[in-house]
Amino acid sequence: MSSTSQKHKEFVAEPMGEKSVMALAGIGEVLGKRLEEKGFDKAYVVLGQFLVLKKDEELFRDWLKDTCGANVKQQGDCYGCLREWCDSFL
Amino acid sequence: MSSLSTKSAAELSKLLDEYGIKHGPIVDTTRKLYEKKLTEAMAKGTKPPSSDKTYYREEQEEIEYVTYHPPLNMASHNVSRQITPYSVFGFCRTRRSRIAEDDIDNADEPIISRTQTTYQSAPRFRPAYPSKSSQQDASSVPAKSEASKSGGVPGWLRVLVFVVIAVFLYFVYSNMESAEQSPFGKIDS
Repeated sequence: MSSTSQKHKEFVAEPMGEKSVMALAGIGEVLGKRLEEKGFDKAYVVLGQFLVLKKDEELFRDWLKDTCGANVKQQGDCYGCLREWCDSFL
Repeated sequence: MSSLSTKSAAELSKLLDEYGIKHGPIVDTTRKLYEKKLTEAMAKGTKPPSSDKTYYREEQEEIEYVTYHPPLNMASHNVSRQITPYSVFGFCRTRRSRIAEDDIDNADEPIISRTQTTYQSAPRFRPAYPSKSSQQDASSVPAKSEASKSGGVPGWLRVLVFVVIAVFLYFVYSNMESAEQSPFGKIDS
């Protein structure tokens, strides 16, 4: 069984709707705040960015690192979360 | 080189392709990321060459060992399936480089056929070495010692094992032959 967090499971279980960016796995308060300052105030905006980057892992990780300073684990968690959500709902 | 930020999205896209960087559309939010990637790539100078680079890994002399299982049921088996003696000396190969693999394969072929067809007479068991596979028993010993230096198994030990197994097999075979002559000798009502 993969080691996904509770946050991940909750996020991928349903359409994200208007969920805050902090609902994403790997994005906590600090990173969430930074993302909001840059204009990514909802989870779906980050989803938009993820899709514009063609769901590519490396690009998305780099972007996340540049935008909010996420570390490798946080990048991975967020990417995995979004990818799985897309697999189910997109 | 003009600044990347003054370039149009199409130009940036072309540059990204030149450097082989996978990318999506260049929009507001992605522009900065791609500019950064391009500057990194330009600094590294990692322009992928048009021709594909093929290189061979030169492997140091590797010796493969195949575990040898002594043929316990040799006596009951048909002698013509003499694959097992081959496996004894087929087990060690020195790979100079991957290119030379063809040589090894080709060299092995004649050895196999020879052992299978000449089982009537006592088979001459020869080690199969890629460089000199033809009848050079004398040279096989120094070749063996050459090969074993990197492997750590003494050459003389291998020769000894060889000889012991060969003698054993010959002994078993010769016994079989003599048994055929009078299979029903003992049965007498």
